[in-house]
Amino acid sequence: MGEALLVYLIVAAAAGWTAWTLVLRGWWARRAAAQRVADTAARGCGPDCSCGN
Amino acid sequence: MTPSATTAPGPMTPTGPAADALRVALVGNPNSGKTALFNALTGSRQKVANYAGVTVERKEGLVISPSGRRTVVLDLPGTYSLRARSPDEVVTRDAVLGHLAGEVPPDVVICVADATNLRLVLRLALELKAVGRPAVLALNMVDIAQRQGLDIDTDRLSAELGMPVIGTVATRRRGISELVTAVEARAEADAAADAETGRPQSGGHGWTEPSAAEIRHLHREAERILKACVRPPRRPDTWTGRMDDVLLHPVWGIAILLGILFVMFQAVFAGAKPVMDLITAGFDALSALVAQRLPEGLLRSLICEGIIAGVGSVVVFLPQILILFLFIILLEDVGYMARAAFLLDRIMGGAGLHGRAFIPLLSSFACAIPGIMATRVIDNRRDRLTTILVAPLMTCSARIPVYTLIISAFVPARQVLGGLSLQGLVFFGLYAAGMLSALAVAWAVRKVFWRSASEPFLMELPAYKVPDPANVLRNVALRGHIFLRRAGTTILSMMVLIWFLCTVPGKPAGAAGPAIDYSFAGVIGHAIGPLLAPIGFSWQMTVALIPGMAAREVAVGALGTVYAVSGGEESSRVLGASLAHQWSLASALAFLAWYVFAPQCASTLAVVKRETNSWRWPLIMFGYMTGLAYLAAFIVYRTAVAMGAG
Repeated sequence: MGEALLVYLIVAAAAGWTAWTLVLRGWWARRAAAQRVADTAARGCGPDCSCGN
Repeated sequence: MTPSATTAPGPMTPTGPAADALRVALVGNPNSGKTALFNALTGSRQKVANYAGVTVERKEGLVISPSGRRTVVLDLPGTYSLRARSPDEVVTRDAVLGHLAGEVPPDVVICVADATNLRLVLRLALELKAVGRPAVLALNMVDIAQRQGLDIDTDRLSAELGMPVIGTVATRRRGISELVTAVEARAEADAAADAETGRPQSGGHGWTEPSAAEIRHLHREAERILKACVRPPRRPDTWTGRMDDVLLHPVWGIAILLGILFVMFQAVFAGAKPVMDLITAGFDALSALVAQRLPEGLLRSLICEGIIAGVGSVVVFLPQILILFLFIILLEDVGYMARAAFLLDRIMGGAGLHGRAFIPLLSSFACAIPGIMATRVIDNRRDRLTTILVAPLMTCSARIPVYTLIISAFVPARQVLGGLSLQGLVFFGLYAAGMLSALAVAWAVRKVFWRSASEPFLMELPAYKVPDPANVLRNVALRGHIFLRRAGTTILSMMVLIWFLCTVPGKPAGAAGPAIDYSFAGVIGHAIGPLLAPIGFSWQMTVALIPGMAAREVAVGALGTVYAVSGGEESSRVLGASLAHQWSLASALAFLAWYVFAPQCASTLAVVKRETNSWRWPLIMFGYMTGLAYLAAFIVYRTAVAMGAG
């Protein structure tokens, strides 16, 4: 029973890792990049720009 | 000077770990040794990501100057002008101007110049000067310029351009400390001037794109500076010319190129075998050790038949991948790759591909993903889309495990035609089939989707040079590391899932067939089986195709797992022999034909979607490649059966 539980836990971890590497990681990175662009645009023309805009 | 990697995950921000560091951007023409200089400055540990919102690669590293100051170095895409046309060139222009979203403007720009070919980079340096940002000219490859007899007056050049000029040999790490010191001095002088005059630090605010007339004026100015500062050799270098007379000859050049490719593929088989045998023996010993220590049950089955058999059957191909990349990197460093692009432009132009498509297609031999991303060097959208559509037909390294497994199992290891390896010959044939089909599909795409003349191909041929062994080995090691990392992460987790599909649910009490017949994988394989039966695929082959969607080489691991599970551990040790016993020759050849065209790579399709901003093109790609794969496998299988190989 303990052995079967360990095996199923390993399989579940592998399934989670596969989903993360193939789908979720790319989606998360794209979302973070879009957020960075939006944040920068909201601040003005650049993070340390001294043009005064 | 200590190279180091940054810890920031994306574009640096003022609040990041290098907020107080000096920021330097590397700008230069393609093939000027910019990336070699970046490597020399920052070492091998760098942070590679994408620019926010676009798919242009962003490389950043950190260097500590002799005075202890932290300097963040950004390697920008190669460009000939700030009058940007391609997405890469737009990134370079905006980064220099300080207009790139999420990117801090550089304090100093290093303009990297190929000392043997200054004409175009001088024009770029003049454009950079006009931007008003502090700049330093790194005169790279000065050793080759000296060998060629070029006499460059660096003091005069510095005075003409209004920026310090430092001679470097990036591959030998010569002049690097001097360059970092000059950059630091330039930044300090600029800061002092700013404090004195009270003008803003960032340049680029008043910049407007130069008109064609202004570019022509800058070009004339660059010509004048070139004449004033560079004295041509008394005895011109005829060695490069003599080499090119042969290597770029319309007949001999192509023959030599084919010869080089042929030797490369022969070496992949002959040179790798002893190490592959060692790796196989290592995994066998590991499996036996685990089997001794663990009692029979699910856990032992998972470790031996799932993880060790599956991952081992992919890792065994590491030596072949290393040899292939050793050749590719050597040819690149010698300066031959640009010649190969020039030679192949005639052939590719006939198929409607742009000459610049050679680089993305060549990259696709490693993996279609960098190849598809490299199509950004092609300005014309139609040319770019055509190249994207055919890039996955080039034989990527993920197909090598599939090809070598089937070839080793079914093609006899004997010599033909006076000492040539028959296995190497078949391997070469599969590569040729991929290349020819890419040309045919490119021709068809241009006929079906659009009809327009291709743009002329302009490319500079770099001087021949002796490769730096340390640089070659570092790049080969990097490729090996990437392959092993995939084997240890994605492939490992896929193998565990495949083992699960092949093992659960277990065999019912009193059932007669092998256990895998009753598993999830068996059910899926049997369900799809009828669709693939006309091309000679068994249900085990069908099962292997499903996880192959994650990465093509996973199919080999899947076959290893499927046959290990259905036939016991002995089968996994000799997977090739097991396939030779259970598959017909016709089925094996159909499997090879399938993999020449197979679209089974989810990552490639995802990158195509990202690069084209549309699901239309990945769907077209998946559809045409599946159709071609099925058709090719059907023809090969039926022909082989008709010839008695069934």
